[in-house]
Amino acid sequence: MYVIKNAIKNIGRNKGRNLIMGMILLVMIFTIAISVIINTSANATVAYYKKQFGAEVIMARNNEKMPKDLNDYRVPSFKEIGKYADSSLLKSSKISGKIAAYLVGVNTLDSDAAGSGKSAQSDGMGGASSSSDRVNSFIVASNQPEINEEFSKGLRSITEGRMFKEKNEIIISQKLSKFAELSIGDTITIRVTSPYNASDSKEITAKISGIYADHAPEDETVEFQSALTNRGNEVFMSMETAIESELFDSDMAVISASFKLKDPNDLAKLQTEFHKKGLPEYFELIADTTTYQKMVGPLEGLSSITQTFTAALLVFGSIVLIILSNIAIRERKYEIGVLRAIGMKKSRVSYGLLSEMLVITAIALGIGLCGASLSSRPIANAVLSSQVEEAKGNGNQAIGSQYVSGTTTVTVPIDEINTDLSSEAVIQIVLFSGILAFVSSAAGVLYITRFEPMKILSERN
Amino acid sequence: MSILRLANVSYIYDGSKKRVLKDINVEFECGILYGIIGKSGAGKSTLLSLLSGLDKCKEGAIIYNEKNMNEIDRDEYRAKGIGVIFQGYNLLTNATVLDNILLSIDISGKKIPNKKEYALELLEKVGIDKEKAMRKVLKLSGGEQQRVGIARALSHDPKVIIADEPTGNLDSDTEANIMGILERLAHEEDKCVIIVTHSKGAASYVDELYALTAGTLTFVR
Repeated sequence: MYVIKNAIKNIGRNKGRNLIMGMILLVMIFTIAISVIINTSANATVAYYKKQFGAEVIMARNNEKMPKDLNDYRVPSFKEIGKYADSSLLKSSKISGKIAAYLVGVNTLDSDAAGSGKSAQSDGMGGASSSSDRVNSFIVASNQPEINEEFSKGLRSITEGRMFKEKNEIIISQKLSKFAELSIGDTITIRVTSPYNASDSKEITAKISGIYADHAPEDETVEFQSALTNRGNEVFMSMETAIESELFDSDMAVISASFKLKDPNDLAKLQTEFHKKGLPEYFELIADTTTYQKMVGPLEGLSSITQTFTAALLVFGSIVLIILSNIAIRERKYEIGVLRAIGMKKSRVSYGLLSEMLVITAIALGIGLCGASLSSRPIANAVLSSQVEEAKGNGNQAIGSQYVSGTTTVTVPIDEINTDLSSEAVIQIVLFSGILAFVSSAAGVLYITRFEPMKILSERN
Repeated sequence: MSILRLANVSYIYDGSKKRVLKDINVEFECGILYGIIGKSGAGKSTLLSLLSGLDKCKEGAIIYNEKNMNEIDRDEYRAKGIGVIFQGYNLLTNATVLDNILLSIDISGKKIPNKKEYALELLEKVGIDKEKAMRKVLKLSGGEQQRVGIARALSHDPKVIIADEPTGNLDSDTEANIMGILERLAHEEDKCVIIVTHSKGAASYVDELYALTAGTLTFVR
């Protein structure tokens, strides 16, 4: 205990020297603290986005693995994708499909307009040439109760009845309900006919469980409205109903699917499982790496800069402190000789020197941490903005020959970082400061403990 | 009964062929003030280094309290067994007088209930008042620093006090004063006090006087 007490007193006894040492330590700890705070915050943000983007998986066609005979090429059906999605590796899945269909005997909106009832070939979605094979509606099915973003974001909402729940239940729009005089409990026959073979058709009789309102503004860019382009004719059903009715087994069905992994590292495992369940080999599962790279690339650059900076500072700082400590200890040679001559053990002398340095370091650490936590944010954002500029200059990274299905989202690189003084950062800063204190005092201790007290004192005398 | 005994002690410095000390046999007892006189190069400093545990005896044995000094911890011996008064004082110059004494007590590990009061009393005994006790060592005169050195040597109440030229840098009045303190320590406090000196005046105070000549110790009176 007296060693620590004496060490603290010694700091005051040698104010000038310790002030210089403290200032140098403060500058080093401050800069190291800023680097560490930025680095840990950047890493935490990167880890967060990695988790987000790494977990979101979509199916993509790899053109390099396509079958030689294109007749062998097939797209997984709604039913098959539903089977794939039944996996313990997945947290959730979003599967939805859309197909042009004919609502038998229903007078749909704009059904008599020019262009209405176009064939599947001409509109690309489905339909046939004869009047019985005309299409007058789109059927949308999903495995999610909210169906799609329009329902979850409130662009469409149930106004009467309820969302489909039981098998063979559907919901229709308010407009169609009024126009075709349909109400809850009424049934509609929905038919999907193959564009290649008029006799190949699937049919289902479904009951209206709910009526929805469409709050989307009218699309004034559509010049000629038809039954197929009129959103009011869209009929929604569950994925279960869609699969059982086989309405979506047609090639004309447009199906999109995305999966969320429980663990982002299980991508390869999931792909193997999907292939085992029948997903053709030319389909692969990919994480959205482009978006991820674009968003977190600058942050990764920032993290790398701070890591290099911290390492360089530690090396440089240690060298400076070793030199300073050696100079300081030479001045204290006599004092140490006296302490040894009156019986203080080498270990206690070393402990005293280390304690002094630890106290100075602790003071520098306290001030450095406060200063760094206050100034790390503007510094981080300044460095990050240069990284963002660099990322913009490089442009997007292409995925290569892969074709990715799904929706496109606009991605903006992260240009601001919330630099919190996390416990992880504090531990790292304390550790680095401890290393600096230890290195500087160890150099002095090694130097001074080589001498015997008699030698030190006789040199002085 | 002797507290410190030298048995056939000889000493040669590393790399040298010359014996600095030759077959020294002497016993020191408590309650006596011993003096060792000798010319420069006679081996006085070497003998003091060995007695004070700053150097290790290579030939023969130094027995302290019936224990061979080579077999005991020399740091412990310096901290607890003896008190050394150095010619050059060897005080912590950037610390206060009081801190010098307190630190010595702490190093010895001696349990004293009120260390500060004890240290001030000790300083008072050697003629350093409370006001001077709070000063930095360098603010004191040579004689005063020597008194602080004596107080420090006494701080842990050792049985043996070894003094290297305790009056070497002092005037005759101060010399008399310091020698008076050392005499009292031997006679009134039953300490074994060994001084090495050039000064005939200082030598006149001692009870037993030895002369060190070319490494050989002989009894004078």
